[in-house]
Amino acid sequence: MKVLLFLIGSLGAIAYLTSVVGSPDSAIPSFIYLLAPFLPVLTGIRCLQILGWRGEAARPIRSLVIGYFLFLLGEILWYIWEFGLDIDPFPSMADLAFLSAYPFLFWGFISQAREERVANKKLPIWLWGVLTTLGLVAIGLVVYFGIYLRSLSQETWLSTLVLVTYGIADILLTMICLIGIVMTVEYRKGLLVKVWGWLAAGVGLLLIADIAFLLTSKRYLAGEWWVRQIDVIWIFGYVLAANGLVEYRRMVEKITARLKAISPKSK
Amino acid sequence: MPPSEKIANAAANEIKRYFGEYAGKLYLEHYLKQQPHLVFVSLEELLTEAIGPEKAASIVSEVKKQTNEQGKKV
Repeated sequence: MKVLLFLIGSLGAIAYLTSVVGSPDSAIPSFIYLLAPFLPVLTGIRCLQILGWRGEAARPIRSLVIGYFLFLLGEILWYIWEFGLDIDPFPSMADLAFLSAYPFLFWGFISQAREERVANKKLPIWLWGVLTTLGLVAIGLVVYFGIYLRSLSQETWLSTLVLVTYGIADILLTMICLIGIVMTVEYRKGLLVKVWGWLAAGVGLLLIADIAFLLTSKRYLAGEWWVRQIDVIWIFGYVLAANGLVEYRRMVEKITARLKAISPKSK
Repeated sequence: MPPSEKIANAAANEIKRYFGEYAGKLYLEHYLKQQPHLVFVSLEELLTEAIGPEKAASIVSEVKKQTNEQGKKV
């Protein structure tokens, strides 16, 4: 399953990179792109099947699945608007779906961190330094390019509002990454490090792609080929998150198998 | 509820927190009637796998403290 995930993700990314048509705006690469957010939704649902849909363990994963589902919904709506209806998809319901996804991802990480009382932990000073620097750089870039410059744009008020909201959503992504790093340190000696490490890395790539987009948005929208490869970073962001959810399911399967072996009912 | 069952229930709740409802149920089925020290050993062993030894040990001691206090109140 894990290998399959990476294969699908990598193939999708390679197909995107080498798309014969040259323009990622055409229907085929855009359709391939839809597979990417589908992966964490699928693996998240499979993870919830074994964790149970209710309960403390399921809560953060449920939130992440909803978040990734909203990304998928946004991509599907975007695809329909652009290729089915031939209407400029910005701003549209697709943006609403994308923007609704960020709080769910944030809530997924926060609820896990709250569960572990991460805020009460004493972190090493070097880690505080790294977190503060990374956080300030990312937030600085997002605030300047994503909020300030966009608020000055000549677009309609609705487009400007949507653009600025994306900037605010990126601040949420930055915070998720910082929480993810703390949680990775928290779980460093257990199998959960793989789960939250991959999930945080996935969100990290989404943030990197978002920042890269902010810095190159004109060239991206003009369809410059190598700049459009930012999409590949987005694709891998989804693949890494899916991998984290696969790791979670594997860990629970392993423990459940061990408990089943000693359970009186299985004898 | 006898103290040993309280301990098994508290331990099963910790298992549910990390491995989900079904794993917690399986754990409880097996450890409900077991000696408390066996419950604690198994809990620490399973949690160590998920979250590492230090964190697992701190959760186990938290469960011990909790169940001990509950026992005293009863």
